[in-house]
Amino acid sequence: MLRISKFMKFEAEVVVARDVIFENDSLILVHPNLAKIYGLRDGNVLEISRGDKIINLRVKISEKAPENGCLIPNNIFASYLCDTQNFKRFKAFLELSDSKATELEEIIRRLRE
Amino acid sequence: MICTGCSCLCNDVVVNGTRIMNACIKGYRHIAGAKENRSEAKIENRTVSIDEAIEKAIEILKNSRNPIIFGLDTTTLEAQSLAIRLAEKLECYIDDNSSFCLGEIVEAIIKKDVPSTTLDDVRNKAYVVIYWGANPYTSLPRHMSKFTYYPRGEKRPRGYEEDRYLVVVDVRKSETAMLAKKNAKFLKVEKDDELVDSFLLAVDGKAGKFGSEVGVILKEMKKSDFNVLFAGLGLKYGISNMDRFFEMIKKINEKVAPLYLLPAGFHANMRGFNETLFEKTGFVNKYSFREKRSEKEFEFMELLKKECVDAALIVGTDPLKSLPFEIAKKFMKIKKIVIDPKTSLTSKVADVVIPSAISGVECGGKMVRSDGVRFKLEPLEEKEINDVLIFKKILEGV
Amino acid sequence: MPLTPMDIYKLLPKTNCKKCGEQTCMSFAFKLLNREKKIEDCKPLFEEKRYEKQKEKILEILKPLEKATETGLVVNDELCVGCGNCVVVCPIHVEKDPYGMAIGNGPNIDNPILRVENGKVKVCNLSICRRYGKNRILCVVCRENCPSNAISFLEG
Ligand code: SF4
Ligand code: SF4
Ligand code: SF4
Ligand code: SF4
Repeated sequence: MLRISKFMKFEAEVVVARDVIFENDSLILVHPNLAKIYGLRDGNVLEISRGDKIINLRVKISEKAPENGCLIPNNIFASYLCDTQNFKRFKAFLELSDSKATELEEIIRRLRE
Repeated sequence: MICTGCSCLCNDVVVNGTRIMNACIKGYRHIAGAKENRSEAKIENRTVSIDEAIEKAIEILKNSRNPIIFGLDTTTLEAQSLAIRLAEKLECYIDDNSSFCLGEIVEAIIKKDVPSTTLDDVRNKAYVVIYWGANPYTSLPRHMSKFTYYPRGEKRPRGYEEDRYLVVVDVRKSETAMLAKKNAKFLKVEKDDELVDSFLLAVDGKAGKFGSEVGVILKEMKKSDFNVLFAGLGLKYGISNMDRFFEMIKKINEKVAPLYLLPAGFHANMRGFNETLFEKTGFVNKYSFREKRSEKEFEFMELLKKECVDAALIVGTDPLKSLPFEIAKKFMKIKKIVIDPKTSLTSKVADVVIPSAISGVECGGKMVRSDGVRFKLEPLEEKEINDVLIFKKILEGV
Repeated sequence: MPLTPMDIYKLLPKTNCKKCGEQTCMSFAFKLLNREKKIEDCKPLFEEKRYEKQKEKILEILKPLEKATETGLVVNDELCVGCGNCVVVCPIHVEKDPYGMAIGNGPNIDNPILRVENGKVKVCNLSICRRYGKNRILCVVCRENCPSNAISFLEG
């Protein structure tokens, strides 16, 4: 089961919202329903891609995420994926990844490029 | 003391040595964490004296053809006035977070286009309490317990138990939505516009998509002469036409029952900035002193997008954290001066950093709560160098 | 999940030896949760080697109970955000402090049951909580209105 899901890339709705507890962490909250479908677990790393922008975020399963969707706390990782039209809500492709979560410095480096 | 951790400006916080009583976690971090992550005076990442940093800031502003002053939502009314004076002197743009937050709502309230009220009246009188696109749990932690749903008030002696009706509108089941249990309703919406339409239709006796839910809510509203709607960021981004939303409020007032509108924005003194600029110019944000008007194009984000500014004076806010990547990239290219007591992503990449004092904790002044009530701050100490002093020096210099 | 007497019973020796002063292991489990007995009262559990594993397990599941106060009210510090909902809704607070906590402010009385200190709720004075004492009732008002699910009661 897990092996199959590893190769699966899927599209999901992402909402950006404030969160007191995980404010600056490189986290993505995934709704349990969605997590079940794709066999995701706490601590997995997801590669999130939107157009040519790709980052890795750690998964946290949470009912705070919209049903069948995900939530990224309002931080630089969320902003990185946003554009002006879809400021706080957008669709992105998600895929399990073996790499580590993206670090803040990396985003700043990309900004400087 | 008065907590300046968010726009609730809770006035019952007591500091007893290292014990901080009654403040929520956000307020506690704001007050107790005051000494952490302090910024230092810097020019291009080199540590300098504060005076040198101010000098350099003046030089950048003088040499800039199109500067913008942005932020100001966590500082005092006094500093905001000086910042507006500086913008006037430089004939430049001035804007704050409200232009991509709840500026339109505050503007409608200040201009009295829609009926509004105070949080104290909400506590004493409100029956139906609607949170629309707002999750006070994260942005205004004590909002519900101190002002809206839970407390008992003069005309609502039984508080939430029987004397209030809670409505939460959101795209997801937020923490606030989970509290909508008894005498309450949670409305999960995909498009906020549809709910606005449903209300507008229901007022005229027709049924829209949310017909039955809206019917119940309107019926509850009729039971009282005081209902209130808190508009949050989710509403701003979920709705395509704000005028229709205002029309909805007006129609409910005309045909159903009194419904007051209040912003649920979180920056401690955002409303203060809106009011101060309004007194001076007749506009609440995104104002150009050169053109003497306010325009969508003068929003901080729009100006960056169209590359219309070459320098930015950022006060007490961290735009880099929330700017979309393409715009953040453009922001990186202009000169950036940051006035902030704390380090932030923006201060990390700024050309000049001027450290300041935390308003309400380390220096006094006045602030305006989200409902327009003014408070005189009760700081724990008075630091010599604060936003007011920094602005005075810059004003002298330019 | 609140701890039930059954959870504890399963791990006891189940011999009904009465050394603890109770007629059955089940009634011991009940009293243990009500704090009328201490786990150490079950002598065989501690003295006999064959119960070693069970003993460790029991001590493990009882750990949160140590933190719990007499009425079994525990606040999870990691989850609490200090919103004050629980402080404001508590019926005892409303009755005793009509112009303080009842209207949303910090307490004006000396010994509230719960108060927010350093951003988190602290349990201060459970002796006046409705779950305590002879006429206790199963009040869950504070828990019901906690947006963080930070409050739980340990009970049967
Ligand atoms: S709700 Fe806001 S003002 Fe009140 S204590 Fe919390 S952070 Fe401070
Ligand atoms: S002492 Fe232990 S084994 Fe004996 S009856 Fe009591 S609980 Fe059961
Ligand atoms: S259980 Fe009831 S009486 Fe006890 S603290 Fe909670 S609300 Fe108050
Ligand atoms: S209601 Fe919950 S989160 Fe709020 S103060 Fe009480 S325990 Fe903490």
